[in-house]
Amino acid sequence: MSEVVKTRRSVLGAGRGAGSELAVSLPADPGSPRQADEARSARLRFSVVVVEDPAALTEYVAAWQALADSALEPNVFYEPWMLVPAIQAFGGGGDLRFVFVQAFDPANPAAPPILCGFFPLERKRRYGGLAMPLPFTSLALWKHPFCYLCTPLLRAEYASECLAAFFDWLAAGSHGSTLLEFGFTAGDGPFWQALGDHIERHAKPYYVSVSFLRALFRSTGDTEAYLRASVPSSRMRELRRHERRLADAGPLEYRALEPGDDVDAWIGEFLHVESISWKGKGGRALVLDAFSREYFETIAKAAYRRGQLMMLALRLDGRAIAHKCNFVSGAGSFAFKIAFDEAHARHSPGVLLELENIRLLHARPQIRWMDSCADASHPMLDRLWPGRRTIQNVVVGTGRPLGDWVVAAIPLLRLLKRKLSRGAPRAQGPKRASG
Amino acid sequence: MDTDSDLPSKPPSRPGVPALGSGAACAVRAGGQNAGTAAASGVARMSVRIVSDPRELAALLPDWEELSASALEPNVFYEPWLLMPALQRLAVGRTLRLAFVFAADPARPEPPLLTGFFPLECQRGYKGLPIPSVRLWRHLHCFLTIPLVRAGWAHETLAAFFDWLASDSRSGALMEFTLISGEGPFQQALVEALHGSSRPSHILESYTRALFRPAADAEAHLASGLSGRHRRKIKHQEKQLSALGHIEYDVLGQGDDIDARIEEFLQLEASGWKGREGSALASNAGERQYFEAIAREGFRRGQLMMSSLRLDGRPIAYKCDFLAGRGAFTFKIAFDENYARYSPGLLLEIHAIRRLHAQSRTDWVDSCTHPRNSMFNRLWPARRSIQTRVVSTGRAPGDLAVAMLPMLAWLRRKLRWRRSAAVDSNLEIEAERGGMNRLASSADAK
Repeated sequence: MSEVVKTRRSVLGAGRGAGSELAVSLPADPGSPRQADEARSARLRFSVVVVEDPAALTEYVAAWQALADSALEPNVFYEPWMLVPAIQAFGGGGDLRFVFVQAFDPANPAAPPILCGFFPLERKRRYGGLAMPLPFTSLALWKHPFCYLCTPLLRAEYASECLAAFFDWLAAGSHGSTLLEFGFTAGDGPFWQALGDHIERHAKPYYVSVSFLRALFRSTGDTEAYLRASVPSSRMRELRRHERRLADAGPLEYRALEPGDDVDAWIGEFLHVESISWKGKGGRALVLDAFSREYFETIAKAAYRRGQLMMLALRLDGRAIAHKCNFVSGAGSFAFKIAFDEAHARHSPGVLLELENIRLLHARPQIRWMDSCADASHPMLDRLWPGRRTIQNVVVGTGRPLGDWVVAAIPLLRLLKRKLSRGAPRAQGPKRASG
Repeated sequence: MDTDSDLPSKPPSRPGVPALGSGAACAVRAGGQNAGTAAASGVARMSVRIVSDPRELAALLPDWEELSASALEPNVFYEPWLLMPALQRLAVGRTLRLAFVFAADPARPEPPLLTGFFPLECQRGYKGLPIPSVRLWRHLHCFLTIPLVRAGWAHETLAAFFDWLASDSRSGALMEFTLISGEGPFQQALVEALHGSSRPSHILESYTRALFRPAADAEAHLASGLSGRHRRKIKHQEKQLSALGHIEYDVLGQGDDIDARIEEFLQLEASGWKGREGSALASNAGERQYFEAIAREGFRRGQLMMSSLRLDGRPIAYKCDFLAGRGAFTFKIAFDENYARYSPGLLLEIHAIRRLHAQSRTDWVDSCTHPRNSMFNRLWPARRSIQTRVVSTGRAPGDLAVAMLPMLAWLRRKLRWRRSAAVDSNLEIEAERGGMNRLASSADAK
């Protein structure tokens, strides 16, 4: 089941130059200029297709992947090979819909539409972003249990037109929701620039309900220089000592998954290490839930086939004592999981493996950054990775009656809530333990 | 410390080399705004001093100067040589308080290290609310108000500043970070300082403005912003202009007569719409003196970049930028309206793009312009994000006011819309106008 809303937009301003590196921006591809061909984008008509049946997504997969590969900001979690298995594993309970923004060229009706935007949305009966449910139906970018970034996919050269079409669809109101939350999206870089510009230009009330920093690795070109700048020498000496102690117990080796390796064995090894880590003991390991386990196996295999999987292990006497799994997307990458054997905790095998990760990343200069996907103030990665990226939740009204009013009232409600529950711990940003 | 690809980071604050001038430096681990700060706060004692005595201010100048060069993000407008003349000429009727943040190491005898500079303007109200407030001072010719914060000390400096705001009886209930960067190390330090604190804060405004970033080469940069047809048209305009006389692109050099250039620029600017409107620098004695002072000093320091397009020796377009670290700020542009049909301003900007690609000193140029300046938006595809953020200083009226601001803005917009609905029911146009009104105060009409 799908519906189509035709929208017409004029081009407001020029296209966005994501080609050059801005302050903390994480553009998809540094080389190519991102300026839209203005004459062309003025001619295009943008329309929105809403897919509610996940089975109907298959016909979009090819265009969707192409969009992900040329997105304004890469988000591996919203690539089809990673999201479709998530829908199968975790999408059952939610009211999900998938919004595609397409561009048509009226002068060339035979040409296939260009997919310009992808927004997976979950509809909720209440807005719960404030630790106090408000009785308003809301849409939010879908965040399943293993999704650590919800920046929607926008085609770099038509980002502002695509957002405009998306907001037109929102305003048309067929979704029946009052609020929309861009939760867990990048708070710096080209996506937020485009969103902020759109909101500001249309004088829409918005509220940033959560904003925090998380660790970001940025390649500096040289591992030694990076470590000298980021890790104090006393800490390095300590880690080398740990490495020697481990090596005393048996042959110690760092290994990375390579083409031709048995990926199933690597996945099995990771799951094993995770099960004997503190997560396993806390009952949160992937193996403890059949859906989670299957999801992980599916995406790891898909990523491996696509050349987007990075796995590394620290092995003592042939047995893995630390394991790490990353996903690569364009010029960026995402740290998915890390686990280590609790029995060796005092020798910091996880930190040693993170150092190896830094070396491996420097050996692959095409990967310019890695998102830690960690919480704010992650005790380990914050000390190893001095870079940060901003993650935020932005709430806007959809355009239905009351929406803007509710958004404008949220800070007052929040203050009231805080005054009433004085003494109780304050609501914080969404939490997740990484590794 | 973010890598050197960061927009605002400067050579002294490259990774691993936090530019720390005093003994307290050893307490801070290399790593910039986010890392290793716990050690420093364990050692350094932070303090905030309001300086109003001119002699005291003069004594602080060298430290202030050095802080500007070691700042997390450069802001030429808050460097002493640009701000001191503004204090003298452009601060009439304002209540200003210059807040300096220091870090002292009790274990060492050295004088305290200057780690922050926040020039504040006190106001009796805020957006119609009878609530005393402070904000980063933004004078008529100031286009960015990122406070100067020493790289490696952002965490301690902001914490000390917020503590001071909460305890100081004169600082009011609200603090407005007026025109700060919406991304980059200062914004990140602010997000970190506010995350998990109980201070309500609200982003009043967030938009982008044009930023120059070099491309592979000048032609690639031009091609990314201008269509082939547009470039051919510009070439044609240049040819037509050269049919009128000898045209020449001139860049101010070391031995040139700075006073003559200043006068030329002022006259050209006053000859246009700004002169007619009374908003040219030469229209007002104080502003004129301000410009003369900063242009001379910028020239002396090698931080002024002036270029012009000349027709038979007479300038028909002028451009004046200030350099700071690896960056630059476009201060003013002007052109002779009699030659408008040849787009002399655009020709000069295209020449500037070529020149910027032929040098290696400047990595970025902030256009300092209106977010919808069509010329810069077209010529420079990159953007920088600019924000205005309000934070409660920690008092109950401030908390309430920050929480009420979005509602007040919404009500105001509704009322204004209703009033103008009879005249113009076009939502799009109204929204645009609302944006323009708010932005008019935050951008010099270039």
